Amino acid sequence: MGVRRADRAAVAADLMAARAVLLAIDLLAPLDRIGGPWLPARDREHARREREPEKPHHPRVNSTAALRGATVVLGDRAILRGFDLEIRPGVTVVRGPNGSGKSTLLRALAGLVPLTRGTREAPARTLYLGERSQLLRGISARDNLRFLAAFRGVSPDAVGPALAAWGIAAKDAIRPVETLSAGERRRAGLARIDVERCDLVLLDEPFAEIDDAAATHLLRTIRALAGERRSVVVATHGRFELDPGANDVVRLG
Amino acid sequence: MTLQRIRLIAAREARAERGQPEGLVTAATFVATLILVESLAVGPLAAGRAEIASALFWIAMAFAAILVTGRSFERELEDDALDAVLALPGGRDAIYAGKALALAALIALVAIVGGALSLLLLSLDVALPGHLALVTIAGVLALPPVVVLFVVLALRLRSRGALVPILVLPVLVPQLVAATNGTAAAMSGDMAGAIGWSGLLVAFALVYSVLGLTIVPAALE
Repeated sequence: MGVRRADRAAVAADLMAARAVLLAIDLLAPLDRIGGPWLPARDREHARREREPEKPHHPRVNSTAALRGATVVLGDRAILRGFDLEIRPGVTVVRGPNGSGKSTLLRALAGLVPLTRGTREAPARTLYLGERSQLLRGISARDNLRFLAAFRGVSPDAVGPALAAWGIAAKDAIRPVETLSAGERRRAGLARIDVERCDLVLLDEPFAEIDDAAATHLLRTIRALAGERRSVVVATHGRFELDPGANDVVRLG
Repeated sequence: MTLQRIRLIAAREARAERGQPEGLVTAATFVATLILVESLAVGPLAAGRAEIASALFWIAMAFAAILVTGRSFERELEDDALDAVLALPGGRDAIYAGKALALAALIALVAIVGGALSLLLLSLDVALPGHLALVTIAGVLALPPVVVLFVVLALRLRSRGALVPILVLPVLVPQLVAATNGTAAAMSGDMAGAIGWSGLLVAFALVYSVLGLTIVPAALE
């Protein structure tokens, strides 16, 4: 009996130690990107690339952005492996089943996930709009957009008209965003396209949560951007009406 | 440009906290309750001693800093607001300094509430009020660089709410010792002690700020 208790105590201690080790690994994971002599060669190479200042954007002929040999590993799973993609002016549609890596591809283009291998080229004026509105709660949609415009060095004067164009009334634009519906928040987020006027616009499931009027406005906006020789990358399940006008349709999974 | 971006992040944070002041209100209430309960637990005579009163105050402030910072980053994760900043040019570099600056201001507000309550409830005598203010400012500046750094490192962990205090508090021990000794020195009239401990607190703030500015941009992925 005494032996069994001792065994149980030993196992419990081992489990606790194992959990502590796993926790330490999780916590130290972000530090891997800093680089240093204690890192393995592959990680040192990755850290070196991360430290390098972003190279000036010299797109290849007719290319706005590119991923070359891009590998993205999240946790223990390679989401993208040796992936090559050239983004040209116009519309690029990314399609694929759930979990195929559409969002990761867009986040990689936006520089929001580190590439384990490969390179990324993207213009400084890149706008990434994810699956959620990306608006900070506690402040209004108008102030959120004004702040982001100022941060980018763009005049915030366009914020009011842009929100109105996306169907956000002036009285709603000054309410804290958490008091807006999910669809209104999404539309307010999409209004950043008109405010920040970027060369590369990355849209992850932009038709989710918005009504038909907003979806029509979004389609019109995407086509207008393409007409101005800007690049729009849309990751989407639905809205196949985008495909005929798209330069490229990328299929994942 | 970087300073302008840091200022923008700090202003955004202050405005969000004004619109949704749960973090600030929770921290101020927590500090007030903790000071009251701790002073009752050790007894009014003991709690009135400079060393005990200042230790109670700074322990409460450390927890308040963790609360305010945690709430600030939880708000950033709702609706992926943090992604909007990180995807902007210079966003990754500005977020740490901007957040630390704004949170220092918020913690200063909590310190004013906690300090006033301590003085009133514990009937404390302060020999050097100016030096007490100096130590308090230095202590308030020393907390956010550490707390923001650890909150960012734990940002992608599911159990971050429980883990951050466990991870941060041991690291904050030197700051707490310096702040407690500096406050006690200012209260008891030890001018050199108050200035010396304040200097140490400012040094801690600088060291952790440099560390945070180096680590956070890469860790925020």
